[in-house]
Amino acid sequence: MEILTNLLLPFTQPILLFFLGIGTLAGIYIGAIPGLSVTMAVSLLISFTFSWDMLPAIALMIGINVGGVYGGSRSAILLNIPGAPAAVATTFDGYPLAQKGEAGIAIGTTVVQSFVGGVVGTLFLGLFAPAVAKFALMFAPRDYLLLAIMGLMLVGSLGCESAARGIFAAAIGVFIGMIGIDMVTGQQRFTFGNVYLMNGVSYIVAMIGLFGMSEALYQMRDLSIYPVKQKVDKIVPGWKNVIRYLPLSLRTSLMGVIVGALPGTGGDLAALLAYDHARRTVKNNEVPFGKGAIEGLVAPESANNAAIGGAYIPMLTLGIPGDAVTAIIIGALYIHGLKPGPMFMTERPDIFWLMVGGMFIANIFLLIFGFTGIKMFAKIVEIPKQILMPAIVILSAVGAYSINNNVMDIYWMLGFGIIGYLFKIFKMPLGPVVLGVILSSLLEQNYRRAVSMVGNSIPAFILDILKHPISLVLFAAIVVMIVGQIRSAQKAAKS
Amino acid sequence: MKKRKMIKGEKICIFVILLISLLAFGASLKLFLANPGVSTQGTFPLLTSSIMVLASLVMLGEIKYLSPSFEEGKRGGEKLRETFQNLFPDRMVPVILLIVVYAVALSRAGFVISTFLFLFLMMMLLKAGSWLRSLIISAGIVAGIMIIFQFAFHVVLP
Repeated sequence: MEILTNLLLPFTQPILLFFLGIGTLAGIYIGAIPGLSVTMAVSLLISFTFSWDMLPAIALMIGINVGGVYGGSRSAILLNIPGAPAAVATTFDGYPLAQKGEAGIAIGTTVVQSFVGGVVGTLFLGLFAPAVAKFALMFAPRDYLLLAIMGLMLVGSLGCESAARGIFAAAIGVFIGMIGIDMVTGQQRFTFGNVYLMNGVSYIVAMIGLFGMSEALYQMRDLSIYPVKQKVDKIVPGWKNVIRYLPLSLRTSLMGVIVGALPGTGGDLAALLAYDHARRTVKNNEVPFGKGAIEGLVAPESANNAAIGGAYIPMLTLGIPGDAVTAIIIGALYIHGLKPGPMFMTERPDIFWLMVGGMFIANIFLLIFGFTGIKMFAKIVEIPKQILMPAIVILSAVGAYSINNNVMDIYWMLGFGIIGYLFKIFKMPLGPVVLGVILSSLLEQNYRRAVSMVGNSIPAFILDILKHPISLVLFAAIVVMIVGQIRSAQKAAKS
Repeated sequence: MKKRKMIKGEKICIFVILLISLLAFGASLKLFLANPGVSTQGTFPLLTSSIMVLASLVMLGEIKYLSPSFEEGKRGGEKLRETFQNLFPDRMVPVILLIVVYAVALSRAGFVISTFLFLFLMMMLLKAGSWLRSLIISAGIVAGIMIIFQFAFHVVLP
């Protein structure tokens, strides 16, 4: 009875409903504008809501989190600029759909799938939080390493004509991610004495440059191509379509929850793994993946929103953030006198169930507000390139600067933009570079931990992988992927 | 790899990639040799840069099977010119230069002036319309960005 009371608290306190709604709406538009991010918005909110009552502050943050993860897909679809790392996979099929004039269908699909994923994630948070947390604790550093390798290999094989190009792109991204001060020894690596480089290269700078700036430069090559008129009369997907894709969205939502529940991983990895799963399991799709397949939107969007619920599991049950946003929310909870951790569900069940109820309501608001502004956003793509592309350059500069208020970030973003422009011309993939930068520290730290745990012996490390079920499964999956890629390369060489 | 025509400049690009990979490998080896071990600060960079070098060599091998991008008999100077034209057609050089100047001007002239001038000049360069239309649109975009970023979201602008 008490659980129900707390779950339905927002309905009895309209102010909470109001903040959930405002938060979700704001989150959608913050996530949709390149240069603004959910992480930035939530961290700004900590200072705004410092003196507020706890419940409205939590409601607002949950709303922004839920809305923002979905919102990132809008700029991914319309401009090929992911609003958040979790929307990188959405660009693969979302942008081609916009180029065909079907941005409305793409955005409508992402709204519904984000809702489905969000609800699944919330259900898991409410029903299985302790069990999922227990499973997440079973992941050892070697498993995180293997998961990150899997993520890189997946992206490396997507949308590029040769595995070598994808692997190179991923490797250079990982290498760039290692620039800075080594976390373990404190030694400078590849900084050349430059103070800016000691902090490392921000993955957001890399993402804005490689996706945003490079796209703007590439589009300016040929201004004779007129913007495609977008069809926005049919935005809401019919029931038939929702039911048709339901098995895929449920599977990928489950993947999203599990990956989201692993501390340090988030919607970005979840979305990519889900996209690959869709590619491997969906046969006879109307449109090939990478050319505007609806399944290519269903999978990542349901996964990345399910990952939100997943990320809250370790945050609330273990006191360990599931991703960057929950790391900030944990700080907010501490400020308001709460102590997320193993005792949280027993000491403060009211707050736990309020957060579950709040997340569910935020997803309902997402379904309502997600369909707003689509026509307005679709019009953005129809703006002449001579006006739109310079505006994207400005937004890229503002976005890069807003990370650390450092003008050097703008120069680095520009550098990445020119590299991305050249990569596009020479058919080198960009997604693996960004993901490499994002996953670099996860890869290296877990490699070093995993190897140190077995006495710095590589044979013992390999044996360790083979002895543990989770590691063995992940390792086998990687081997299957490598064999698959070799076979595809051999087939292509024969033909 | 799909059979296609080699893109002008692609061979040079992959050689440059190989060179960068070798430089990365050299720097990583130096780091590794300073403190050799299986899990030291140089190990992972060495592994990663080795993969970069191997991948670059494979890419070099792959492009051998692509059809040549230049007609037979063309001289080096002509090939270079065509490559440059392919990479930076029409106005791309002034566009990129203007973007670089904008990035530098941001810290000296401030956001409003540099952005307004950048937008106006870029639209004139890209022939977005009359100078008056470009002026009005530039002012509108700058105002919009100030309202959304600075006043609504309290984001510090350059």
